[in-house]
Amino acid sequence: MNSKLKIAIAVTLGTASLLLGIYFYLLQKDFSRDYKEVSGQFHTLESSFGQINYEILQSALFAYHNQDTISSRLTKLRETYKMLTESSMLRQKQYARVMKAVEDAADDIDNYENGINRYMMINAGIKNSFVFLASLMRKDASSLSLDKELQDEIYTIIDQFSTARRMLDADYLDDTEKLLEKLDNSHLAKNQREFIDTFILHAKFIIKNFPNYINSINSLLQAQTELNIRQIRELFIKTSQNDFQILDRLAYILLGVFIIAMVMIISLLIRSGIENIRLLRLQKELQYSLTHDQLTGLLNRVSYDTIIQQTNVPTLLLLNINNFKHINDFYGNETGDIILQEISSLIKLPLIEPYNPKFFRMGGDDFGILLNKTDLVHAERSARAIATTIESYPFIVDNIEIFITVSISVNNVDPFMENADMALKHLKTDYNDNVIVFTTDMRLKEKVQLNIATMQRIKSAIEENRIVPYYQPIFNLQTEEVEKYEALVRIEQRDDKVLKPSDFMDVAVQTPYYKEISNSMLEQTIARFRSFNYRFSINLNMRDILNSSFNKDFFKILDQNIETARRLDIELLENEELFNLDLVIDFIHRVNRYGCRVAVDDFGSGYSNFSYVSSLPIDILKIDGSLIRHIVNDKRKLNTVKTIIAFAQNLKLEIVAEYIEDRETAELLKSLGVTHAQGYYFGRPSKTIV
Amino acid sequence: MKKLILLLTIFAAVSIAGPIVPLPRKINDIDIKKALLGRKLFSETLLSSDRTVSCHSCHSFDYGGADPRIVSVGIDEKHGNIQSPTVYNSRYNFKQFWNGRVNTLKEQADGPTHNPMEMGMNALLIEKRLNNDKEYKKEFAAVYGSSEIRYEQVIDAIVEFERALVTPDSKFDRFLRNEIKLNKEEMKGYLAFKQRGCITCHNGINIGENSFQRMGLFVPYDFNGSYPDRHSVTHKEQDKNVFKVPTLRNIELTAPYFHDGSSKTLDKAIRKMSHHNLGVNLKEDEIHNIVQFLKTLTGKRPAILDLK
Repeated sequence: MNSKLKIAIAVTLGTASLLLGIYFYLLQKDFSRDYKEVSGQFHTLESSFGQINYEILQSALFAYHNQDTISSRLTKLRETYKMLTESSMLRQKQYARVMKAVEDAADDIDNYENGINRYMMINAGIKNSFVFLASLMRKDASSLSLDKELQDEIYTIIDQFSTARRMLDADYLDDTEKLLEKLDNSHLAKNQREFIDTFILHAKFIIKNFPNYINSINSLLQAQTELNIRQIRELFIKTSQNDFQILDRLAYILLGVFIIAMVMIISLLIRSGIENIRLLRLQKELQYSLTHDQLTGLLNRVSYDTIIQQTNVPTLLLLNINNFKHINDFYGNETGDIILQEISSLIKLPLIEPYNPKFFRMGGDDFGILLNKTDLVHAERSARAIATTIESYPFIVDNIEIFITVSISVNNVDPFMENADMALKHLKTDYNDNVIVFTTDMRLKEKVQLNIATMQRIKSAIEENRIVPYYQPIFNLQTEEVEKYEALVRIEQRDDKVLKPSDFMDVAVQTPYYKEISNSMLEQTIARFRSFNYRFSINLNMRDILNSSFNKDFFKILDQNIETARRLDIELLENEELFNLDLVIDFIHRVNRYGCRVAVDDFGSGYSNFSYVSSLPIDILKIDGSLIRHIVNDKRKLNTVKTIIAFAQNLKLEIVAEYIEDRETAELLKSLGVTHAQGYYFGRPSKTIV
Repeated sequence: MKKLILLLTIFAAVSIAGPIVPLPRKINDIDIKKALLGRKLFSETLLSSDRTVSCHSCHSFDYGGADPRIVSVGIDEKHGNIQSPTVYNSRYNFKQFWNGRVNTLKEQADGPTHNPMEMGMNALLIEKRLNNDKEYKKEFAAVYGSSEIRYEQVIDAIVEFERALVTPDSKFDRFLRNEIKLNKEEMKGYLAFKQRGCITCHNGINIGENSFQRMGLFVPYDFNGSYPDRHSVTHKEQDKNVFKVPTLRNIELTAPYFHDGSSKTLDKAIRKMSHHNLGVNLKEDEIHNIVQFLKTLTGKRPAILDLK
């Protein structure tokens, strides 16, 4: 598993546990609120029964009783019950059974309430009657002078009533009715009759209603409804246990997810810590390997480039092991490496402080020692000390001592590395010493040597006929066909490399070989086109046509090839040197007579001069490649080209554009009025003509 | 249960509250602005279909919140089927209507507006009429903050007003609070009221209104089934001729008496009640004293009626 995925998982788990935590919190908050509410309502409901029963017993016992308490408790009970039936918690699916039971209890509640109402109705009458029976006797009976037997009878009846009431037992009234009948049948005075009638009315009321009264009290007190509600509450609590368990489980899951997330985060932190340390070390190593040479531990070439720029007055000692290639070949690369390592230590031995030396391995067997703020005398002394140290050190290879010689150049002239390198080459070829100090004349010598080399190349090329014309097609933009070819000089080297004019012409013009190159080109080209019926052009320098010797040879060749010369065009290369305009005009007239046309080449480059071009009787103007190459994007060059075209059109000159490398440039030029074009887009210079 | 009885006997002495409780002198749970809007609606004939009847038509403040007619007259001169009970102190009633068919004032107020005999309206029509009245719209908006008047708000305001209709500081309440003494006759009347058993049913804060009782508990009372009694709610044989025990507060002002308005004076009512429901025939002086006592139950006119 990659670390990104791990981080994603840890973040997801973390977020999940957070969200789950919030969800859990809200859930349990809602749940416990709902639970408290509903169980509270059940509790209120249950306790209402007890309170009402208490009130009922009070109302049964006391003559005067405020019934508001009963009615308000009943109201409360009814309201609580209504809240239960509307409870959102019980409406959830898992509480369907509880809800059903609650709803089913509606009749119970109604019956209970009706029972109480009924009880209160009977209770009022019974109570009043008992009061009457008692007070009647006390107040009225005494004044009525009832006879003893009647009085006893009445007392017996009252005693039966009071026992029945005390015992809440109707059985005590079993024979009361008979006594009443007897009472009713007695012969009485009118006022006695009225009293006895009222007495009998109440007594009969009690006898008739007392069993109902007791039943009604008992049924209220035994309260099946209360039992039912308790059972519903128990069912509710049992059902809610499931929810509690779900909450419990959720809490465990939450804890689990949280712990996993924490473990992952912690392990990721630890890992990333380790990773960081590793990265830091790697970075250091990388930094080191970027700035240091792996084999020797010295600073490397990259470091040198940086350090040299930060050094105020640098002097560079460049050390090269003589014949190191030989050592490597003879003793093996391993030995070579050991020697390089040992040298890297040896060069540090001579005391060349306080010049703040820095040691480099420049690559291969080149070492550099950079000194700061020293003079050449001290630097050379240091170089010699180093050379001596190394050359006197016996390197042990396979128990054989071998000695090594080195060359050291000392240089304090910018560019430090190049100059030191040049000096080292001088040391290796010219000197018999092991230390050399760079001097500026070494650079001139270098150039001369290069020129000599080039000259030798040209010389051998002429001798071995390796001056070769390459031909590049020139297109007519109107007909879109090849109209002519330009012959371009090349030297084919022995190693198959092809030299362009820029590689050797600067040197060639300084030498007598130049004329030979020109002649050779002319002869070969004419020979080639003798049988190849296209126009073609050759390049001549202004200097050439002013050279009488050249002129002589040139026209001699033309004379020998009158037919072919008719298709020859001459491209004149401008030159910074002053020249005789008349002589040039003469030359042009002269070649015109052979049928040759004359072009001014590279117009628009360095020395272009509108005035002299307009005074030459030429036919063709070739726009310099440096203008053409960027014409599409460079507005100034485009404007210059437009000017040149307008100029050429005014002089009625044929216009050839060079260096066309793409279609876009070609079409732009065509739209500007250029008639002829050459370049890689149309065809590369080639030895053979297709 | 035995335990409960034991407990009862132990606590009986201390748990006896007075059988009658005075009305609070001041009620603090009223939203006055709402109650004043309710007051206006209470007398609003727009609430009846032919715009002739309001709540006040049958619950007159000049007659103790009740109707002096034997039965009230609703829209189109239609006659009601029972004597109109008082609206005063009705917030303390355990149930509403003579037969206690609803529990709350809110449910009660919903009744007459829809009763075809009384106001013959429906919620939509009431809303429409009130919403057409710019003044009502403004007043409702001030109380309820909504732009459209809804029927529930109408009922709510009326109920709030009714809850304010309390008549405190009757002579008897002041007696109960030990502020004054009753005169001899009144005191004798109160004693008879207790001894003769009136108090068995007429007790509590509203002196009644906390239980049902049969008209004719001892001596059967004329029953012809034309009055909406408790039986019309429970459909139980034993609930025939059973009505809610009415309040005795302001009884002096709310003649005629009983569900059938059959007694025009207090002494006749007492005579009828004691005969049928107490099984006694009271002596003339007792009746006189009880009347004197009942007259002490007249409280002050509810403050909300005269509030500006």
